[in-house]
Amino acid sequence: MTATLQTSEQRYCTEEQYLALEETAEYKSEYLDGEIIPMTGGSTNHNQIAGNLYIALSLALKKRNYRIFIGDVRLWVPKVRLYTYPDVMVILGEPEYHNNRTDMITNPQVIVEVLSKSTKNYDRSDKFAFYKTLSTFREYILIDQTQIKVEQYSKTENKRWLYREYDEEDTALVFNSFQVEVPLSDVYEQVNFEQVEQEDSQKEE
Amino acid sequence: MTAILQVTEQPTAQDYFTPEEYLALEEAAEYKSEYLDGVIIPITGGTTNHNRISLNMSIALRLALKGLDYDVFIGDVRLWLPKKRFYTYPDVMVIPGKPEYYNNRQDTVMNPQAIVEVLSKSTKAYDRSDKFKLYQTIPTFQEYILIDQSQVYIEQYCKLANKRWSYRQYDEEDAALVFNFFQVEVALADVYEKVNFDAENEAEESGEE
Repeated sequence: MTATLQTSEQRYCTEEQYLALEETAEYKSEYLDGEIIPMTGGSTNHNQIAGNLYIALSLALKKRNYRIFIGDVRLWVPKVRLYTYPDVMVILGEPEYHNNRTDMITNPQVIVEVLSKSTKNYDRSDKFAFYKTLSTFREYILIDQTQIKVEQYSKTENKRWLYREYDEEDTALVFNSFQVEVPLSDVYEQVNFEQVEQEDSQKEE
Repeated sequence: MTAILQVTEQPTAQDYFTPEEYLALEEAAEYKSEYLDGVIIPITGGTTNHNRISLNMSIALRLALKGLDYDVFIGDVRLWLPKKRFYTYPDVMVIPGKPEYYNNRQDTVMNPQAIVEVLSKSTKAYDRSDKFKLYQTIPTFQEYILIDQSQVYIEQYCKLANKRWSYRQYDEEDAALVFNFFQVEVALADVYEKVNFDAENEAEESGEE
């Protein structure tokens, strides 16, 4: 999912107002410290990649103590007061719910974001900074939908990470958190790179 | 220095510029611009804090590297990335050995080992994301330092191997920024010497459109 970054006219909203609006809204929005930021729909490639990752991780982590969620589960980041919907999240053990609401969790170990042209700088910059405030967060995967290109941050210790890029020379994305390898051909299964330009140019103003 | 990211409508009716046209315009221009594959992007002036941090880093690096085979440049020297057709002015560059000039031009280099960028609110996402990707196409590039001017906060990327980097954050709990490739430590107090965080926060908030 991709949040549009233009500031809406909306003034300051409380969390409760946001959650109430979100329940009746026809599209999803993020919430950042008082501000509601509508999310655009994702392209078919975006959806395909998130689905591919979800399937690959579900199969690889079967019978292990992990849960995988896709797109619909809201994440609450208390330090910066952010509500958002990561594309894919992996949780170790039981989900920790915010305010006992089963649609909002606070303890992802891995977050996967599929990058869109309009939000890639946000995902790589501010969003990563926000996610880093979560104590359980150890691995961040950013997937380009226009070419075979995956970026990976893996936490090694407090304030230290490894950053690795994958491209067509590589065979598999290696998750460090749980020693799972996902072939890049599975990540990009059924993704149509030619389609992308068109979709992007339609979406950008 | 911070490039304005909106494509401005006014400069000229011309959409695409050759690198030669850009360089000719740049020589006569009153302010600096970046150039990315045909497009000219004006750079805004930096705040006083921005300038203080660039200067502090240059002084610290210059002193620490005295007698060693490194050159330190600040703000005014243009960097050319042939693979991306990108001209820019990094805040601070460290070059090992001799500068490799582009077309024998003494104002344009191609071989930085370390690049330091002081972040501005309007360009920090660009510096962390697209610009880092562009810099990664420089074969000599090994170390990228991003310095927040609104708080004690530094990010550091050090190249480990092809397509692999370490990433480290520094904040007020840390004493010194450690450059990996030339074993230089710069005290965070020196990085932020004379920087006024109160002024910065006010100016940055009100300075945004």
